[in-house]
Amino acid sequence: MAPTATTGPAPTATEPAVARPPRPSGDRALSIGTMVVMAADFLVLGALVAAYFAVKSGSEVWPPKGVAVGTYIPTVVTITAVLSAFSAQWAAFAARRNDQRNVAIGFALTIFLGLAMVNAEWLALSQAGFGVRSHAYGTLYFLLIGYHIVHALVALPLMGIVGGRALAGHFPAARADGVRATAIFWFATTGIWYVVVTALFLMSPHA
Amino acid sequence: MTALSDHKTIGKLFLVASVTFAVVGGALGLLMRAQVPDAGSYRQLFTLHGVVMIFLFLLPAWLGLASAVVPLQVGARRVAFPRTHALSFWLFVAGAAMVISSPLVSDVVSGWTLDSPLPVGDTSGGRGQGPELLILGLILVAVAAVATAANLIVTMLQLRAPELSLRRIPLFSWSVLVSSAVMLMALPVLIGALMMLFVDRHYGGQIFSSAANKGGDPLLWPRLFWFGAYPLLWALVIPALGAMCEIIPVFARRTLASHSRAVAAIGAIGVLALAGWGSEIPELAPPLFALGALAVLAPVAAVLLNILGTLRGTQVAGMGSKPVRLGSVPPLAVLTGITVAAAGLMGALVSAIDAGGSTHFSTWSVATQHLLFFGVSVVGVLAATHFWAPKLWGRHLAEGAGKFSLLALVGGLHLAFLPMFLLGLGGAAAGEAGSGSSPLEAISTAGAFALAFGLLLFAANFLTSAVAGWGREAEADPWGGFTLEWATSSPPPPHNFDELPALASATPLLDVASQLEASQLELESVH
Repeated sequence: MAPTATTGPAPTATEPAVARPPRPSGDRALSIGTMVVMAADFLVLGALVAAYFAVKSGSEVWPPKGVAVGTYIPTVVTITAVLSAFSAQWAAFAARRNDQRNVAIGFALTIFLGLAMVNAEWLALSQAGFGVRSHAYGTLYFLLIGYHIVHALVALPLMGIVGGRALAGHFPAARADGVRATAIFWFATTGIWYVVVTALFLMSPHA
Repeated sequence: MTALSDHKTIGKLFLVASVTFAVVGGALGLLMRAQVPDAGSYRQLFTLHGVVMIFLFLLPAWLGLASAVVPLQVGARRVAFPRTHALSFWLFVAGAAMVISSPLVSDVVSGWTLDSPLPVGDTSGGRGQGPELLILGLILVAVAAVATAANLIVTMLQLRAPELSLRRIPLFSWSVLVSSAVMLMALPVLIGALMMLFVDRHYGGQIFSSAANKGGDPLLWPRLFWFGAYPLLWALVIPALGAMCEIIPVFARRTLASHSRAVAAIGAIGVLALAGWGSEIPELAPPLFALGALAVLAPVAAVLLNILGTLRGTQVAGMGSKPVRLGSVPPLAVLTGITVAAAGLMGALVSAIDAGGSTHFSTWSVATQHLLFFGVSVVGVLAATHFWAPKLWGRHLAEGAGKFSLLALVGGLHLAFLPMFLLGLGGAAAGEAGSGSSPLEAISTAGAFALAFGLLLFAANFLTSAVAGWGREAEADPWGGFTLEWATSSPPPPHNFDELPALASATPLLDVASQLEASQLELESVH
């Protein structure tokens, strides 16, 4: 398999790296743009997490009395998130090889796993036994998990569209960056879940 | 790519929208100074005036200038994501419309920091209230700004001309890169905070609630707000400084005293802007934040001294037909802008040293913020618009009206805010309607009128040129510019450049002119 996604010729002995002007080619603009936007997106999440820990540090009992959310569903969602990252990368690798059928298969698998995650999270919210209005913990519990669900609900149709278009032959190796950007969006979505699960469950005592 | 996703069109639309909102915001500020009798109306105007000036005027003005100029300066044919660029603009318009119309729904009296009594007090007032519309509008505006900043960053990183290394990008583009990075770090926190505030108000959340047994923390709001807003204020000053660094050398026919020091100083402002956010919160203000607020002043002063030092340098070779013209509007604006910046720096310096003293949360801090942040930024907008208008839509802004608006604006800034330093020392609190009886207050009011008149005149000058097409037609390079945008026609074609000159420094056109002059001298010596 020949590498197709190089950004320029490597410097040789006759052409020292310092003398060669940089060559921004623009062919990775979409994936770099996605990374920049997702970095900003993580800072929005950062504000929510900061609020969570600020409220937590000001409370004597944490989580508040009567809260019993359990760790079963979050554990299942976390394992699914890890698996879905592999299937999304499957699609990205396939795009580089110009294998558009496997792009569609990778994204179809990711959509399946993503739907399972959203379903489990929805179940966790509906069985929480408290609401947004109950207390600050409740507000942030719904906001943090909701923030992940919203991202998944954007990513799932996006992967559907890109996967479908790949089947129609719209993503040859030269345009693999679109597939890579979609995969990056999904990685960031799973990343949001890891942050949420760390704040809400790993760093807070739960029965 | 359609005309509506051309970065020059989007940039111009951002500018037109921002200047229109400046007129609205200026009118609101003027009403405030005219001493509206009842305190509730005063608070309402106080809120809208601040929100409009920052989020609907200065922010989109710089986004517009950056959108239009940066791709040209770095030799790109377009921005990285033209359709996202257009979407950002329309998101901004939708958000701005929501912000402007919010007081029509119900009273919005929280101040521009949205801190009293919005998160702490009454959150049970039902749905669809004015403050909620304001919050949603601000979220849309901030999202538009983040998207535009990301677009500009990727454009500079990925689409710049092949020979243009990051060290060679012109100072305005560099300042936009730094400012965009600051916005990308600051605005998302503000968006997160506004989201939580909206959930609290609209869905009965308890995050900022002061109700017992609910676990909320009202003091969380100012921390999150200033973590985002304080760097944002600097992000609106940084491009003004970058534009100043470009303008003075062109009109003085000298290269900047030190390009590399300006690059370092502008970068340092970007980093240190993130350090001083706690200095604006009465309950916090530990020494570390005071130190951060103090440290950021040093690179600002370094940039200003760099600009002034340029005037002492030797004139550059080449472009002999272009004389030194420091009397034109752009360089005049920069030089008078430096006086505004100096007054603001003085205020900020005293405040940073006088931790917890009478300069805090009085009209002293109002004067400092208005001179340093608003003053420098708005004079920068005026300078940059006069400088780049001939390039962007092929028409010069009227020179006489420009000088007059500059005089009113800068004179107004000094008259309105220098007395406030003294009033602040006398104990006048910020954000309250004064009695209007003392001579200092009368001077301040007169200054505010002059400032508003200057803004109005600038707006009229700008809109008649940009929208109605008035004014002298511009040649491709009317000022004898040093950077790439002057190497194409005015206005540029949709693809920006037919061909690019060689790029061996941050001032490629100067290099071309110097080489031409050198070869002519060589020819003459041969003959």
